[in-house]
Amino acid sequence: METANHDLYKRRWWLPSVGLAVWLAFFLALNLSAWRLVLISADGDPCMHWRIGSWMIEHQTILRADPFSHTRPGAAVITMEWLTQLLFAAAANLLGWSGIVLLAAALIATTLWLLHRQLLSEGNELLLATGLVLVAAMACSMHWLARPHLVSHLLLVIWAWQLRGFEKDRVSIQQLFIRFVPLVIVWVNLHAGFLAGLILIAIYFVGLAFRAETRKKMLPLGLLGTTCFFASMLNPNGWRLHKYIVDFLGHPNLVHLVDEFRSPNFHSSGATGFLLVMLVLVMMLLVARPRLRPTEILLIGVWGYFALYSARNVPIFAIVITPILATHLNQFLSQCRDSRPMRYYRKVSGDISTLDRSASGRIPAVLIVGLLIAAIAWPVASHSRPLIATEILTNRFPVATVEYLKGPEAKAALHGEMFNDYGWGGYLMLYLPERKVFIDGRNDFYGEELVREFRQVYDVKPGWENVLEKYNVGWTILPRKHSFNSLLALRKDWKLLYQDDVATVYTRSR
Amino acid sequence: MTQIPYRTVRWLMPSLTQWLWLTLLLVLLAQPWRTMMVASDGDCCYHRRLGEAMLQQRQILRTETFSHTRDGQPLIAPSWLSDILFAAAGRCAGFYGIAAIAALLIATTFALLHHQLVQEGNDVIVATALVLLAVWASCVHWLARPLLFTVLFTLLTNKALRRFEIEGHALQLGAKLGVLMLLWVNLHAGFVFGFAVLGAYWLGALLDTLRGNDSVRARQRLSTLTAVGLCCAAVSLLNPYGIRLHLSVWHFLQSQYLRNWFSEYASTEFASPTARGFLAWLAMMFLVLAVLRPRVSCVSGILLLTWTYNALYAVRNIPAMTVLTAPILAPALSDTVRKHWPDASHRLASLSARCRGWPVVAVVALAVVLTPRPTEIPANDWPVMAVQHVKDNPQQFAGNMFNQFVWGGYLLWELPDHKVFVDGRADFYGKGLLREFSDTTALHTNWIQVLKNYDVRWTLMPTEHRLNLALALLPGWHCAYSDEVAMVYTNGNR
Repeated sequence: METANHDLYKRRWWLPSVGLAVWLAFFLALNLSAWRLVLISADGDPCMHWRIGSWMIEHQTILRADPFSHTRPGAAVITMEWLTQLLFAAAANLLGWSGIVLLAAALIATTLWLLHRQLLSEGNELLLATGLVLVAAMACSMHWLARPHLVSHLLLVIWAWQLRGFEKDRVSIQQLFIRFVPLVIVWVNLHAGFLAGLILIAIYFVGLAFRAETRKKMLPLGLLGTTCFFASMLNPNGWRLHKYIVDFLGHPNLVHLVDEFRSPNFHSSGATGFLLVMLVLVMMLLVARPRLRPTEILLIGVWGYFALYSARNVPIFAIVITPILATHLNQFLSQCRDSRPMRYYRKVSGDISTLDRSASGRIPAVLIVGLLIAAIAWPVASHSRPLIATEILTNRFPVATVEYLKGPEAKAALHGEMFNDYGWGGYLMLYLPERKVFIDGRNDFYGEELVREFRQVYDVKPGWENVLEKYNVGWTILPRKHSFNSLLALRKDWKLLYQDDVATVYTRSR
Repeated sequence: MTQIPYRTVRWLMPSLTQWLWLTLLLVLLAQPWRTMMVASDGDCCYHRRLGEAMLQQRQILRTETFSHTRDGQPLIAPSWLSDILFAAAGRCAGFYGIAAIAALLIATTFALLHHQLVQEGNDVIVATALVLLAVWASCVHWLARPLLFTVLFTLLTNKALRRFEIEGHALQLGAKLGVLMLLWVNLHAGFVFGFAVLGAYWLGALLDTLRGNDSVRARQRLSTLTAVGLCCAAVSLLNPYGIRLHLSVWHFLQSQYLRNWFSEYASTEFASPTARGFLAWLAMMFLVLAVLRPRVSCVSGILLLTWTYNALYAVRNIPAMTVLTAPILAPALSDTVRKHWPDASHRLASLSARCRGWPVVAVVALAVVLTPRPTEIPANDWPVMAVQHVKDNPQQFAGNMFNQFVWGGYLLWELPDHKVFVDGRADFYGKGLLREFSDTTALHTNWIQVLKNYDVRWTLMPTEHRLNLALALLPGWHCAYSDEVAMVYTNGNR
């Protein structure tokens, strides 16, 4: 028996801790499985961010006027995520799409690792903490795309962790000032999700007002919120960034053009993680019946509403409420009366915790990550065939069509401007830089009027000719089955130039 | 001045439940609700048309005669009894008659919910507030359709089961649910909701048995519920189509494509103003559980979880969810109200209990229901003028029609001499035909072929629809009629 215990406590240099294992598992799975293709191919935005980042690196300046579209040429651009775009472009210029996937996977894995660390630091059992982090990961996975919002998820874990610490007197207000002010300056330049951080401060501010013993914390927290708000002005666009975001969110027609801004679709398997988080929450309320603090009630209520309102808020909801679930479930499980399932749970949890304490396998973890980076970087450096090919999916994007459009035959046939599919805008910006797009994923930049004109053509509504005339459109590139192609096929003044399984190109007769 | 005696006042003053019933009835029979209930989609028209056909033929429909795409095929009309009721009401008072049936069903459902909450010992203020919130949450799906019977029967089934949980009268439960199921299975395909609710109670009893809580009673409950469930299953076969009805419902529920076809099966879009009531219900539910922390039985927990999921999954399940969860949430709220406002609560309850104003309510309701007021299908949303043109020029519109899906029911009703391409009975038309229909409306590569295959001679589509733009370019087709709502294209090729 003593030998067995001794074995359990022995340091295991080859065994990573559970937290590190979580990080490694997600990092490797995202890099090596088909998910890496989903990360970059779910929509055209990763291409768009790469293109904008590359432009900024090339011109050594922040983008302030649009050079990519023919519908709004030279119009003022408010760059909401210029720093992330630079990072993504730098990674991609170095390692191609694999670089962006590496960066996105590292951000996702680190977010989950930090959440795991937070749950453990708050005294929750390892087994429960790991289980809940996996549930949160399922919920977050509905919005795992190689885009700047991943940075916001990561920073939000840190932000929420610190605020919880402040409420529980584990973190002082001075520490919060020292951590939050620089953090918000970085965050505002990385992604517009910094607003979520300010909302969290506001929720804690209101929540503290409900209890007499916490009211004294309101003033310093209010000061912190105000300071963070003014600190967030330190970005290339100053206060105009805030106005821009508020204006955009105030245009529902514009906002709801994008699927991720709509409510979650509970018919889709992507919503399973969100349902699971809600199931755990309701089960906790029904069975454990915890005494929730006012801030906790506000956090669940406000972020629950935001998550129902817009699917892209589901990961934030999961990140914010997982620590609340963990604390109360942990308390409930520790007070549960002794029964066979509870005895089994406690034994397994105890064994894993003991094993975790003895695990110190950082070296193998570093080796595995190093090996993966080498496997990606070596073929790039030596111009040989990649070991892990990461390319945009050819059945989702007009890869072959773009190749054709670069050829001499197409160059001779094309005249006028392009009308393109909304989801392909980013791809065309990156892979067909010599042509300007009609529209791309930046619907906030294009505005309500242009989006309405775009839809008039895209949905084949009367008056579509006037829109094409107005923007001097000479050719279209749309998905093969798109209804507009069928209409153009019947027109004598348009002719089919190119068609494959993915896309069709029509040109207007000269 | 002579004072009216107290006893007389009692008979003139309706109770809160009666007030609620009457107010809902009057609101629903006023504009814009009565028009919205019959004209929000084409289904009300198709139910009326099917019912009318059954009344004329004096038999239940078994063969399709309304569409040219499925003409002569075996037909299952799952709501045949509702269709007949709607058609009979339509004969008496036109669309107002149908609106009156719908309004009566909705008002009765929520008045019964109020009655149930009060009868179960909840505070009157809480019961009234909860019912009003339930009304707000449910109004997103108030349409004059047989689904309203399902909401009412869901409430009655749950009420009977809750009573059984307290009193334990097995025979009473069996008789109630048997009769309910017999009616339900002939009124609407939503009778499966009855089995879902019964299943929740059965599962609760099973969990109680396994946990050993009051095991003898739990085992008795389990066996009673099993027997009642089997009885209901047997009773549900007493419909004109027998087991084929169950199979068609099962087939529909299995098909993701068919479920996604209906907008009412879609998840709630919370940005829409119509979702605010549902959002308020969810917020109330969360606050009750998080702040008041009620002790909830296994059965209540299962009902709460499953029906909240169902309501999130499909908009059409929201009304059933509210009537099932309200009795679970009411006790905790009642305790709080009684603790904080004991006098007001007690006074209002005793006042309401003394009121016997049902004769007044009945007179007002009869006067309103029996005085039909204009209820027409609005010409700014529906192809009313286009249909009139088709009726006026029958020689121009011979042969098969291609029509907008939502307008199918309206065309069935207004153009009985013409057969539609498709209508609201998506489950009857099936995935294959619906795909051909959507390929045509989306101008997919095979769209011309579909029109040829079904020998379509004319189309009736919304004015701004892309199909009109394409037909204008197709040789042989020309625009025969156009207004702000609809366009009719005819094919001159023979």
